[in-house]
Amino acid sequence: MSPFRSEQDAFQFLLLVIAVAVATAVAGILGNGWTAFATLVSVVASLVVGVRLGRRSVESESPERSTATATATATAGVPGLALLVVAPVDLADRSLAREVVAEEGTRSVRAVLFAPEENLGEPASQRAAELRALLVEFDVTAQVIAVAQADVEKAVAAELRDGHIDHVFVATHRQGHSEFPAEEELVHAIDRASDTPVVAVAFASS
Amino acid sequence: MLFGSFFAAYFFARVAVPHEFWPPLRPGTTEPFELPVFLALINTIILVTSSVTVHWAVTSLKRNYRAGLIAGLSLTAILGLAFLLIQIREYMRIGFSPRDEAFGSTFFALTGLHGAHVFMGLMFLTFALMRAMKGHYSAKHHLGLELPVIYWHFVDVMWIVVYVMVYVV
Repeated sequence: MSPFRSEQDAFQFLLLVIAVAVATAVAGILGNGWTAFATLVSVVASLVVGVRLGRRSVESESPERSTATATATATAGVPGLALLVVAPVDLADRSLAREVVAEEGTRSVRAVLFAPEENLGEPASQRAAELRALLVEFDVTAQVIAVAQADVEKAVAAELRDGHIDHVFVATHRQGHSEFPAEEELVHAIDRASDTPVVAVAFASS
Repeated sequence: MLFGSFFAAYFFARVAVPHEFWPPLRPGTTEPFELPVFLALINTIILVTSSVTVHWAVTSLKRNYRAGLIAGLSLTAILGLAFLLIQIREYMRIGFSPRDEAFGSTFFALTGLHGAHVFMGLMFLTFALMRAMKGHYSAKHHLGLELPVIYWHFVDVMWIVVYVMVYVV
């Protein structure tokens, strides 16, 4: 989290500072200036170490994915920004889920995964279920569907029409990948078709 | 950096200069300098509330709720102005000046520097409010709003540090 990256991050940083300030003030009132100083240093050091360890444990987690369960929508109704995720099926993994969760205030996700029609079927459904389970693991309400590549614009339009979507998040392969030009065109098409803000993020193939 | 150097001066005055009490005694008396801690607490609440209202303004814009944007920015500007007016009133009645020892100098330097930042932030937010009233921002394009709001949160963070270090601890 960098407080200069976005307003949301700056606000979260402010809340963190308030928490640290309250702890320091209480220590200062109960003890003296040096007690407050020691509390400030230990709280800040704990936060820095905690954040680093947390980040490292997330990064080192095995890529194994949990299977979809009926608890997928257990957190439904939680307020916050609603995100529409559009991604090729082969990018629907933990990296995508983590990036989606990192989007400011994301609490609810509707995801449209797409693949060439001939590749739709059990593997695509499995990927959709896995992505949903990963998002739920991050405490985000998730609904994921898989559609044919030819129908993706139609599916996105339907999602934008039906659900209250605050942001659209499009995952693409990196520049140079054979699918990138088509995905870049898809990003522009979605952007043209709606007033909803669109963010495109390039991922390495998993 | 600027705040860091002012804080360094404050802590130096506090730690390196031998004082029996902090705030120190007024020269030639047995009465210590007194800080209006409660008034500063009210100012802290005002400034934290203003960060919440400005956050609401940005969130409203992202949801295309323009009334929330205008209301949030207006409330923030009013709260920022209230903060400055209370601080001016505090300066007028505080009973010491920047010439009163290192304590007075560092107190006015820190709070004055912060007040100057609040004033600038208030200007930025007022311009942002005027632009918002003209419909200049959208859910997709609002960098011109987001930057002054980040600045405002920074001003709030600095005040919390100033409040805890100068008034409370």
